[in-house]
Amino acid sequence: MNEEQLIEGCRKGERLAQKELYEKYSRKMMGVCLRYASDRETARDLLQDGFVKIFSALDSYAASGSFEGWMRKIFVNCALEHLRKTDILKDAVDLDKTAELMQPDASIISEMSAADLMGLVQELPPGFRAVFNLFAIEGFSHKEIGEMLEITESTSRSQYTRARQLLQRKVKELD
Amino acid sequence: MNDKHRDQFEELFSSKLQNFEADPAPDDWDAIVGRLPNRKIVPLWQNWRYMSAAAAVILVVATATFYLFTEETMRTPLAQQAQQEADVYEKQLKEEQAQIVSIPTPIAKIESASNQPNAQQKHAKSLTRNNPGNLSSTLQVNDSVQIIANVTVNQDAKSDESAIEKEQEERVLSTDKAPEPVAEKTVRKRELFANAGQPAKNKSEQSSKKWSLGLGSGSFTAGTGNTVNTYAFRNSLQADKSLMFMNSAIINSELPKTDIHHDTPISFSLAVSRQLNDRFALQTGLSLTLLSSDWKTNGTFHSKTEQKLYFLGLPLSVVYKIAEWNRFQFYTSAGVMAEINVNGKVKNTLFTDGIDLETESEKVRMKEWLWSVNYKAGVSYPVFHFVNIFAEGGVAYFFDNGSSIETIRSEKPFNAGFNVGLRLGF
Repeated sequence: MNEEQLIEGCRKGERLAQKELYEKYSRKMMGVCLRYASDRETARDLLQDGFVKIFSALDSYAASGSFEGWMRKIFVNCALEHLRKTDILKDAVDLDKTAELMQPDASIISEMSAADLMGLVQELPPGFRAVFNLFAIEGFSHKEIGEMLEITESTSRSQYTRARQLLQRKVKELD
Repeated sequence: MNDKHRDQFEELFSSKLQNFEADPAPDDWDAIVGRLPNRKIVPLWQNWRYMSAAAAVILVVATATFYLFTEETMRTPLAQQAQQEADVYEKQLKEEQAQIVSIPTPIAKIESASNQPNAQQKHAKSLTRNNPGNLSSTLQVNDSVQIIANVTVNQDAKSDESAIEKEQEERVLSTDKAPEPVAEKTVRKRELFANAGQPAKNKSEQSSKKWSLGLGSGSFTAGTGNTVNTYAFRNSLQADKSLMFMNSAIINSELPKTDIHHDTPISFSLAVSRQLNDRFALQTGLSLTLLSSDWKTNGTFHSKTEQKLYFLGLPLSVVYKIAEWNRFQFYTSAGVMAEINVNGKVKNTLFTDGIDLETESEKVRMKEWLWSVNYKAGVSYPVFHFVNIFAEGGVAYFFDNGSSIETIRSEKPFNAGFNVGLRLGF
């Protein structure tokens, strides 16, 4: 079954098509969920929420763009919705101002595995983690992030700066 | 997306985490399924797609069945008109013959008269030697001429078996008495029409062409045939009367009858379509259709008229994709087609006993446009890239365009058909 047939089958509620779509994309989407979640259990919740939403909202998919891109947006929105519900986006974290001066060697990061980097990101406070993911990984601007998280652009910028400081510190500690 | 401020730190994280994958837990799928609504089962009769497909199939089958079982009893307006004319003429002829019969004429006298060869018989005598093989087949012609008076009497007696037997005996006698002049006269007829073509086939020898495969995007469409109890050429009442007169002198001639047969239309078409959206497409193209018909009369003197008309058609239809399964696409379509007769020919041949006496042909053209509407349902399969092979069944209705030229379209304006072919771009 090609992707178009798969989508059509899912639209009709065919369980086999839904299972095939899940098997095709669940690993990638689990990766997205893990980046936004602090632990694996939360990531699993996000994964399940995301797929239920995907199967329910397939009629809104216009078939003009990338299907995988559309799915990623759904999962990111699920993650952000979860963060908003738990009201943890505005959590403040006191940072040691000296951290701003720490500049880890890029070669250390490049030698680290993706799983190790994922572990570092997951250790970030939820709000910082969300902004870091949206800016550094997804590529959104701070203005867009502000709109998405219902915070100001400057708050997004400062949260990202702090998230980056934390990561730099953690990388430095590993060195 | 804002990449202006992305530095090496961000690039490194992005490249490693952007496509990060992780295995979900084994029971995640079950948890998802548990939260999904059960698939709504729509009863078949509530699903309008299946209903429309079923309606199309029923329509096609019902129409085809109706026409297959009723075609023998159908009559055309032209045939009915011709029969009325022939009835009037036949009545007049009987009255004239009755007047002749009222004058007592001894058979023996007629026979003796027939034994006196006239100038034509003398001329034919020489030809008979060259064509002895035609003797037996032509005896009956002369026989009939000789005992015309008796035939009339017997017919007036209306199925008097003894009279018929007597008549048969007389025929034998007269044949025995005058074999030579009869043969000569008949052979002369052959000589007069020296450009004889192929003898007309008997009805039993004609192939039954109910269905046939067209070319390319050809079609199966039920043909049709009629029998009219009179002589009915395609469009010449004068010719009908002449034929009636010639055969009226033949003893034991059958009742006048014309077999009208419209062949299955053969069409070739090229179609292109443009996708309007996921479900709908607009389809057009060009089609060339041949409509063949023939009219055959019975009797010793009989005729055959063949008509061939070529139509160029411009179809336009809207196609709706019902479903898709393993690259097969099931669809239905509704459309309209305008056809114009671009070329046509009528050939008329007069026969007697397998010999054609006279042949004439003329070009004809239906000036009026032929409009029709159609509804089809079918399946297509992509052969390669944008070329699809398709098979579709459907019904079409051809509007009366007021033309005096009779075709299968005027006789069967509503018909069912089945097409196969190639299509570009569906």
